[in-house]
Amino acid sequence: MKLLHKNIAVNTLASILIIVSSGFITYSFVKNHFEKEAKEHLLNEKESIEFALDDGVSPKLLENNIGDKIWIEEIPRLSGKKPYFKIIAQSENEEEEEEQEEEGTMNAPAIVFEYRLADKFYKITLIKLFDEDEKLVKDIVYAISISSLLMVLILVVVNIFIYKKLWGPFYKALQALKEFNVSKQHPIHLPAIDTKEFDDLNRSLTTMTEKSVHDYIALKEFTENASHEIQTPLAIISSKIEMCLQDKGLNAEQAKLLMEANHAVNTLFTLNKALVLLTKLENNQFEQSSQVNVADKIISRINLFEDFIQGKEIDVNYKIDESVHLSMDPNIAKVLFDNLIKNAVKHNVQNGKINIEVTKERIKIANTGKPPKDNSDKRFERFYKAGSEDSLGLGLAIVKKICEINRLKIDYNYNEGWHSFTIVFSSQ
Amino acid sequence: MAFVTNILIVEDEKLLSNSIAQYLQKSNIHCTQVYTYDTAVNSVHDFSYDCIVIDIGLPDGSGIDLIKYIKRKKINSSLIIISARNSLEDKLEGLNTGADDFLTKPFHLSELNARINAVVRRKKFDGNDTIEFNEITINPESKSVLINEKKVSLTKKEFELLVYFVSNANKILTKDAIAYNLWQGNADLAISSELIYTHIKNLRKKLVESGAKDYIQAVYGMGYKFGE
Repeated sequence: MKLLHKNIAVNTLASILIIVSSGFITYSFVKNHFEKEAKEHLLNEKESIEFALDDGVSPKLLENNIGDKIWIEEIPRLSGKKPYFKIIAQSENEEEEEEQEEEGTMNAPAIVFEYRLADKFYKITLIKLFDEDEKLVKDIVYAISISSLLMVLILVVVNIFIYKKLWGPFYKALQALKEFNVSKQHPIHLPAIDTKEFDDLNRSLTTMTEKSVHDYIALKEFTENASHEIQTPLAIISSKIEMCLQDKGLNAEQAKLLMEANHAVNTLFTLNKALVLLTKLENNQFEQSSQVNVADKIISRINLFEDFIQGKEIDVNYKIDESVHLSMDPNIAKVLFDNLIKNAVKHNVQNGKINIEVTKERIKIANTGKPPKDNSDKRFERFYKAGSEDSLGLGLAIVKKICEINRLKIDYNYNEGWHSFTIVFSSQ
Repeated sequence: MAFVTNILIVEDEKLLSNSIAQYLQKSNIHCTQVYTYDTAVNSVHDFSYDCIVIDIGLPDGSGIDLIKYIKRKKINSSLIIISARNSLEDKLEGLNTGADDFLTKPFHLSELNARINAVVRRKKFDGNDTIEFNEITINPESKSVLINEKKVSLTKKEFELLVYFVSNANKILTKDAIAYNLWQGNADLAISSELIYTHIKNLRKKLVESGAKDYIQAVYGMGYKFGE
């Protein structure tokens, strides 16, 4: 739900609640007031009727002479009841109801009192006919309803306006943040705004993105320098060991020590190279992309491994759709397939098999091999070593990272002697 | 080799430069060492080197600029870049500017030696030379090997291995160095397999069967040595 919609919903709900309750209160106050007035009016009328009767005006005459409706009924004797107010109920008889409506006696307030004139007793019902008061109440109700509706409408319009106008900078900042890419090295700079909070937000965004761009550059420089600075001493160590090995006076024990040192130097070198590549991938330093023909890439990479494939007498089967292309950096595609094929060769068995399948939906590279010793997801983690001591455990971490940055999904699975890696193309 | 090769090493790391010079001098290559861009510029005018080994990151300039300078002055030396940076752009730029080869640090001295021999030979004899080692004659251009004038048929890898051995004759070559020479980036795969052993065994057998002396010796715990 958008902020605007939430805002409108809450505001509308609250205002409807306020309007309904205030309408109800106003209505009851007004109604109360008119009822009180009606009672006073009836009491006054009662007095003047009694006065007139006392004066000898015949009740029949009264019925016609008074503004209000009066019902006079002769009763045998006084019941002793005090005068009381009532509301003339709506008749259940339809004809009478129509009549009531015409007369204006429907739901009308009335006073009932008894009166003794000489030796005759009367029960007099004085009804205040429907008049302006009642209409006024109705009008007030209408007015309140219409103005409430208008109010809600205006509220919605004002909300939209506030949303567009006041929250504009917020959405601008949000958009800028969405588009921000640290590898492009452009910190977010938004114009100054007179709303303090948003101005603060923009300033914070600028500070934050400037800092991350700065850190990004520093990190990039560091990886480049670290790689460079580590490689030079490594080259020196390696060359010195090689010189030592040429020494004719070297005994077997010394030679063994030197070889072990040499091996460690080589490992360190490979490690450095792989970590630098991973860092570069993580920093999105490979932005150029072109259409890479998957079939061509895979075949050319397979050729590089020919010696090893022949060495283990591995049978390679292809089922390749030659029209499949991937949009990515060609060098990175090379690294991706190199690592996958290398993995399939390295962990294969003597006389094993490799199946390579390329379709429009996926690339599947499967190889025969020993059952995995543990959790299948772990093999994409850095420094995971699947049994072999020689491996650094970075090859598949690199594969995974390459897939991630190119929005490809990679899965591993083991089934009846087959290890398969499947790259699924997401809808790009 | 019958001729003496003269090379110039432009490398600011003195320790590395010394190792290179020491190693190459044992292979009958005469080395001159300079450590800066400026001295390198002077040296290339003083003497006509067969090959110049250039580090890209020099304290007072870039090796790439030095290559451009050498090309501009039409100095006819072979050029090999050695760079600590492994980036492809550096490699492409180097080779596009006119370098003959590119090696990433750290490298095996035997590898550098083999590469120097290859580029110098190519330039000096315009491809029509042969490498001779007693009764063995190698023609790098036609990729053929003669032993006592008789042709020996070798596989591609066996041939590369032989050239590498002969270029580094009488030196101990480690398994790592041999694997790198034959498979570069996939060397680690070779080290963990029997492949090097298999190739060497086959080469040795073919050479001996064709009448050559058994020059390939396994040096216990270290690697192999080609020599008498």
